[in-house]
Amino acid sequence: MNTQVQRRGIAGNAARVLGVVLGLALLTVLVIDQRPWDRLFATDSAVGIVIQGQRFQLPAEQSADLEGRAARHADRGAAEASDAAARLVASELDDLFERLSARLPAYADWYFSLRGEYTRLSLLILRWGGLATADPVVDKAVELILGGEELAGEVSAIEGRVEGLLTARARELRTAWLQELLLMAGEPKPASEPGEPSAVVLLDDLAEEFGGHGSSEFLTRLSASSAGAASVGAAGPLVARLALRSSAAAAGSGSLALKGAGRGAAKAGGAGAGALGCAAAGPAAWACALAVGGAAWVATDWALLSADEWRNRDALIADWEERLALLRAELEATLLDQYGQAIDAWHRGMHLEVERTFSPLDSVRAAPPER
Amino acid sequence: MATASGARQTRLALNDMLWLLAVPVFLIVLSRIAVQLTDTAVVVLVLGLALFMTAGIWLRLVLRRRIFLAGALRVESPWYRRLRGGPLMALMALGGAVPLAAILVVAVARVDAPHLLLGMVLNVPVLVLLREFWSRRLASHAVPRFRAMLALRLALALNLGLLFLALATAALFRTYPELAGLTLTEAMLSEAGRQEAASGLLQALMQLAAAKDAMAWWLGQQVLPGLIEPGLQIVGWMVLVATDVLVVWSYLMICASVLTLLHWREWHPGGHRQ
Repeated sequence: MNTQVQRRGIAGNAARVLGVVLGLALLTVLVIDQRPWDRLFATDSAVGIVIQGQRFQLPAEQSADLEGRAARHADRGAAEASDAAARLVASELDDLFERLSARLPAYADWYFSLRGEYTRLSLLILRWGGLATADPVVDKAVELILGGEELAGEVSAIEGRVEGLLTARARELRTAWLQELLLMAGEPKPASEPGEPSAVVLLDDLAEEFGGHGSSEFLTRLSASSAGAASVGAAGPLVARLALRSSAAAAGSGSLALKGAGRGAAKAGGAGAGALGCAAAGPAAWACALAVGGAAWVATDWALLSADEWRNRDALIADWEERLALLRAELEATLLDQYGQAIDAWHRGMHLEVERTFSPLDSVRAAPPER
Repeated sequence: MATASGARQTRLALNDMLWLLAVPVFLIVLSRIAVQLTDTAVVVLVLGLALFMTAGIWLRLVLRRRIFLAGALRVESPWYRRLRGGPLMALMALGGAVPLAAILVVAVARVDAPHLLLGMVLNVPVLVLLREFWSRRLASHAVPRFRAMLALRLALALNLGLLFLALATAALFRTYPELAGLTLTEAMLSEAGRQEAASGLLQALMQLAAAKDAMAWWLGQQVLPGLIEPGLQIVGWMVLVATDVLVVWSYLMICASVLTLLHWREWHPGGHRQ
């Protein structure tokens, strides 16, 4: 009997030991593991949001994805802004370079004219004598094709239009995000209304960031880019000059010099042949020789220029089309790189602000407020 | 016979552990919901905890008074009855229990790392084992009817030191906010500003506690490194960052109240006058 009592006592104590151990283990898990509490308190309270001084309340099931929604808006807004900027830049540069291409025939007319020929010759002589430093072909090309400083103004105007587009995009993104929030939240809730949420999120900073006025200073960066656009525009003629010089060095110098030398020999031959006809003119023979020789020189020059134009005009225009295409590609890459950097910074800023805005919310929802 | 007595002692000890598990359960739940409580709920909670503590403290005070009276006064003296402890003693106990309860509620509401609650959970068997240890050690020294109370008293004192040391050691391995570049005032205001609770009263108390913590961290980061030897810095950090002794003491007071209320009939000398 006594043994039975003892056995019952031992069994009871074993059960108690088991209970204590299990209790300690369960409590340890409850202290260390946050997940059971998350599930328990996930739907217990609504979340308040404050935008521009107005307070709204979101049901817990909708508020759970607030951060995800904001992040998705940020991703979509940045991607769309980037695409829109690329499309506008391409379209604007297409228009600009189409107009520049249309000027190539006028440049070719000048290049193969007597005026152009003698302008080039005289400036080349001056350069040889050290009296002129500029390349006459380059200057004329810049004037006739790129319109001098006009390209800088054109590029600045394009930048201004892209800035306007991106500003509008940022505003639209902010509006779309706020509209979605307001649709979820319904009517503003007076502060005194019962059922106050345990967590309140202030969204003004995030709205500012979405609108481009936040800490990433997206719109300021865009303005700086536009200021830089002036630099790009000012660099346009420089880029064109470089293209011209390199092209002249690569293709034009040899053939044009040979052509010039050939034309010079032919003109000298024509002038000499004309002057020989004046031998019978007696004392007026020198004057006759000068007049007839000069006329023969010019006539020969014109004939040779015409032949040169007939042979090389299309090649000259095609060469310039190629150089303009290179210039366009460089300009497009430079502009898109600038916008890409600004949009990337904006995108990062929006994500940072999303994290900064909603992380406290997570901690509030998952556990007692951060201390 | 000795085996039966041992089994009975073990059963009582295990029962005590099971009862004491209710204390960390309550505190763990409180840590999750405290910031959502209203002002009224916070006041009721603090008063309820204080009354529970008071019951245990008062009963133990009465017992201590009886020990004193048994040794100092004759049983037939009217002062024996007058001084045995009544409402005035309970009121004084309540006066001490209210701040202790408030400190415990605030500490639990501000829990942001598991070490405090984990320490409280694991302390349950430690307290009971310490009491059993002292009870056995006092068997041949203490008067039987006061032995349990004396054992509990010694166990509480030793447990306070052990739990404080354990929590202070755990606190050494935690990370704290970087307060470099801030003045002491800025650091305190910054920490206080991060406190959130539905109850304004609880929030104010949490802000006070947070400011106190910020002051400790600031001193630990800005002052200690330049003033004392590296070995002593660890001691200084332990003092600065360890969970407040009062928090540990108030937790132990609740545990002691549970044990006192459970065993009051066995411990109370009743009307027995020798």
